[in-house]
Amino acid sequence: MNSRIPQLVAIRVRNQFMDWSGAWWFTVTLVANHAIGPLIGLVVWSAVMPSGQAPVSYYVALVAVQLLTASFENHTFSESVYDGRVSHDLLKPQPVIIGPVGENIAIRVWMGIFGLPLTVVTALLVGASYRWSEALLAVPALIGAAVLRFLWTWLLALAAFWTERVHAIVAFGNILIFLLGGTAAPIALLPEPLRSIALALPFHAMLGLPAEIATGAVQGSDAGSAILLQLGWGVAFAGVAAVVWRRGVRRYAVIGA
Amino acid sequence: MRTVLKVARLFGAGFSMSLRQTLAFRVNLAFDIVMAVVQLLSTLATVLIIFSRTDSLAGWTRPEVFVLIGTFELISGVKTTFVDPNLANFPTRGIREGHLDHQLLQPAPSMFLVSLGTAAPLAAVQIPLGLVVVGMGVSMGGQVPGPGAVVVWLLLVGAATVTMWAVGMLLASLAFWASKLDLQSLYGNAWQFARYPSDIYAKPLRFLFTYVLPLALIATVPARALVRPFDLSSVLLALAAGVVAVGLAVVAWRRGLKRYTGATS
Amino acid sequence: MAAVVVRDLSMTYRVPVRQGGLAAALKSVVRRRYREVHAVRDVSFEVAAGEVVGFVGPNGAGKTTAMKMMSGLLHPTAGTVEVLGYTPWQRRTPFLKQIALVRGSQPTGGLQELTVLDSLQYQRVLYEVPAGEYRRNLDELCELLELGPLLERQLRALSLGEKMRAGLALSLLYRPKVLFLDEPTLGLDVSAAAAIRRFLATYAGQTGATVLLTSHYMTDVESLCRRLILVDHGSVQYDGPLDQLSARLSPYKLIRVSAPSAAKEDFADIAEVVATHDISWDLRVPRDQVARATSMLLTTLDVVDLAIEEPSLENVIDRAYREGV
Repeated sequence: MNSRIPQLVAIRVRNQFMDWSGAWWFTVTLVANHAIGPLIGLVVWSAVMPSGQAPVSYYVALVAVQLLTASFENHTFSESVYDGRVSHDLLKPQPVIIGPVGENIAIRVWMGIFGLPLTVVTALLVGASYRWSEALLAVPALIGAAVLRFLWTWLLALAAFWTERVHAIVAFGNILIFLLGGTAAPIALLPEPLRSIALALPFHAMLGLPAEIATGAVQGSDAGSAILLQLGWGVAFAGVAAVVWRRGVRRYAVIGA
Repeated sequence: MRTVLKVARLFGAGFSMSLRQTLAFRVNLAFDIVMAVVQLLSTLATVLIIFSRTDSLAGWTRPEVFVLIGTFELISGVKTTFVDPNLANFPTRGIREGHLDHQLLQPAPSMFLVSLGTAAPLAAVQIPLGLVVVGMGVSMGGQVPGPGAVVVWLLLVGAATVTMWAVGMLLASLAFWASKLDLQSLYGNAWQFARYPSDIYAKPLRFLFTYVLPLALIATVPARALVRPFDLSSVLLALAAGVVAVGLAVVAWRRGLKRYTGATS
Repeated sequence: MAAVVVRDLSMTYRVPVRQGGLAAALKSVVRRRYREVHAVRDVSFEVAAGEVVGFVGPNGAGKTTAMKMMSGLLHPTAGTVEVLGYTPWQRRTPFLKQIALVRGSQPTGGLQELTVLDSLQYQRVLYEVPAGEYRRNLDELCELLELGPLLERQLRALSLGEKMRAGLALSLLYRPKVLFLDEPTLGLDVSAAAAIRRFLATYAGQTGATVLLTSHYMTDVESLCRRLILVDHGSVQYDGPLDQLSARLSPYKLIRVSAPSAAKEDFADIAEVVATHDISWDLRVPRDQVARATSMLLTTLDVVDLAIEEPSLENVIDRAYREGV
């Protein structure tokens, strides 16, 4: 079964991608929904910082990162727990997580298709610029952030086994990402105790880090160690998620649909 | 006059019904109130972070920004409690699933039933929270605004609320022409732009947010009335915007209804 | 005075059409093609106060569209409608307080989490029913519709039959003068449908309300309506008493004879044999010859049992749909 997993994921991605092709307007609203945060941050911090120091390129990069790492497992997975559809998935000979993973990737691809032109236009409008070397270095960090953010949302979405208010829990998680991940303010600009806390927490690794690497704010060896930190958090989340998953399924089997 | 009284009574009945519906699930009470508080704290935290770096945000001091955020929270609360629960589902539940048909048969103004018939009572906690933040801003600033300024502020908050409702109604009416289009969530997104003083936006955007999609009038203009000297032109602008918005909304709704061919039979 | 007056009513709307295939899909983004659908064409009729009229017609005939125009939900493309003296789509409050539309497909609107009693109370505020009248009407409806056990239950938890009863109660609470019913027994089991029919007959009799009813079930129409309007392809094909339609469409009656010792040739001069089962024979006889055929059967054959039947309304209507009137 283990060798089939990439194949199963690929099939799932393809199916979900086709499925979503009919919902283009919905994708547009999703893109708008997620681009707003970094865009407002861009405007606000351009007004705060003296010109020349404004984190313009950072925020434009952040728009792209936000769109490509957005996760909705509370909608794709938790709802299936609430209306009982997860029972079907539990009976299939494949890990249940493949479904949400596939859908997550498909959604992000669609958001990229609609969102990257937006990012490019914004970059041109505000005069953001990047160096190729830094942008390339940001790619592995972006992939790490995408995986990490999925695991975080997935972990929160598992709360559906215990409570009906999963959307509120995920919203709370998103507020944490907003404040401590680099949207409310670039991490470097946070006042002191907050800044060290933010660097220690995983939220920065899920969102701000790739943008900072792309703009050169984090360089060379710092970037390397930050990516290692991403890996560390990823492993931790995956481990906790596995335990929580087993407990959750057991509870679901006892309580029923 | 009778219609006004009846609408008021229906409004009360609708709110009471929504409250009963909400209270059926007690866990939600705690969650929703906590969520509202947490979201407000997140905005305030962002403001504090901003002001750790500077003393002025496009000419607004920290106490002034607090007043603005409180005003925004207040009007946002009215929107989330009374308007969003109804208009958010209008294209799907109302037009495509036929809920509008039930409302059209009822002997009350259809615009009222469609936009204010039900409520999300727990979101109303944002209203007192907003007032508290405005109070905080006033006390931080040290200067108590005179009664005239408070009256103007209330007037402008009222105008902003009406404008907010009218724009929502106008966007919802567009569903009569293109029922797949869901503009309410985009409206909610654009709404976020009103969270900060409109002075931070570059000239073209500021123009857009004042004259086309009057977001600046939601929080910036009323807040200014409370913390800056009286400015007649902005008061007149806000009132005019309210009137124009309501006019457009009524026209769009009526035209849309004429065009309405109903859900599938 | 007539309660409902309809003149030359028409409803036409445009639907986008598109051929299959990718090329056509792309083309349709640039230029949309439309087709006109004439849902209702030049329909005219009058309904007097207190009448119970049944509308029948195949799916897509235009019955529901016509009903929606009469209740004010749709704006017609041409023609006029007057209900109780009002133009329905102006949706004046006094008009709306005197009519009700109940649809079998969605009997209850409003917040589904509310109990039936809560919804009734909201209706009271909405329709401004005075307290005394509210009490009286509620008690009466509770008795007729057996609402007792339903009052405390949430709307969404009701079965289809219960929802229909609740929907009728909500609509009749304010004693509308004109009642539009769109497929009221849709999806109901035999007993539930019969209960609804009994209720409607009683209600119409007691209150003198004008009832316009569409249904696909002939039992509804037969038991409730004296007058039938047959709508097909958007126009009125027949408007008159129920029994006359049968007579017009089906000039035959069916005679069932049980005669143990009869053989096929015995019937040759009397009537056409359409079926035979053991000792019973089904004969098709033109209406004006029924008396003659019956007396001939009774005199020439050893008849054990004889029955004269109208062709079922179902068959008649089916024939009307397929062949026209």
